[in-house]
Amino acid sequence: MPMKGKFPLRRTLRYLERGNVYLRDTVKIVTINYNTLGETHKGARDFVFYNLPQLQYKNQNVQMQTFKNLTPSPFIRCFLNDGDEVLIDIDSKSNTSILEHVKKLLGKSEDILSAERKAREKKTNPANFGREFARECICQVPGQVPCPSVVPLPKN
Amino acid sequence: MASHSSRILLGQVVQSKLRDAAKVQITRLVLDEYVMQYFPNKSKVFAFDPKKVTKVGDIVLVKELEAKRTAFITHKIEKIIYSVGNVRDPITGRRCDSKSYWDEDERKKLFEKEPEEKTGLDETFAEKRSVYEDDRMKEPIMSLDRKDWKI
Repeated sequence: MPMKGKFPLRRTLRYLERGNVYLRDTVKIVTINYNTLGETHKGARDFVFYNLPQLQYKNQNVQMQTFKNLTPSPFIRCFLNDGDEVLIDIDSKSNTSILEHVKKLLGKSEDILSAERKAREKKTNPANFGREFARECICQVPGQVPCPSVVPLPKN
Repeated sequence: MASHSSRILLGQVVQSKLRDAAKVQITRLVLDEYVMQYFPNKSKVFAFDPKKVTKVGDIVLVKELEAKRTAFITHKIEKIIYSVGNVRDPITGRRCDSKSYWDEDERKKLFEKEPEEKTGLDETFAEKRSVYEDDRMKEPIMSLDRKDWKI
């Protein structure tokens, strides 16, 4: 049974997981203003159609909203934590260049992402013991030498 | 959502019967797992606005209060982004509609009085203690002096 709708590929999990723009933690709201008619707004329309689901999938805690037919020129307006605003003019740009621009301005850089990935691995890695990890000491693992505070170690 | 330190949201003001708060409708995109598409999901929030700066239909930025004012009023109006019927383009700063930017001189000739522009930034949302501080209650409905009553 074929998939229904315009470009149904964007309704697959694989497509959503392909998104590579992770917005910074300070970005809370992303709004996109564009018109339903007009050549200069075509890039913005394509961005909302193709890239907005990917962006929202990778940034679940960010509120994303679109406004249609409010102003004659399209733009992206982001609201940050401390009340700051970021305005991106997307007039006559293609959706790929808009995405790149957003990634450069508000996206987490590769070093930050890899550092975060390492921190996540460290936590889940069962080889790590300590206060911040799952197990504090190897004595907690069944089959290992019990804690010397509870059972004294043998004399030999 | 307790992990976010200062929670701000964007929404549209909707009609409410509250005297000192505005009801704000917030739409967020929620993924439908079966259809695999994002759909808008509406939620309502009451935002403290004692001076009635916002009109029904305005797009506003709403911020969570540190402590709830009442059981329902949990947020406050931070800023009015687009005033209804009176949209100001943030790039140029000019008033506009979807087709063009407005010519202010022409509009002055056509319209005597334009709607008041309120951004909500310069208004102080000061807490009111007494009921009689309210604008509507400046003149009591009935005189409080007994001699003025005509019985």
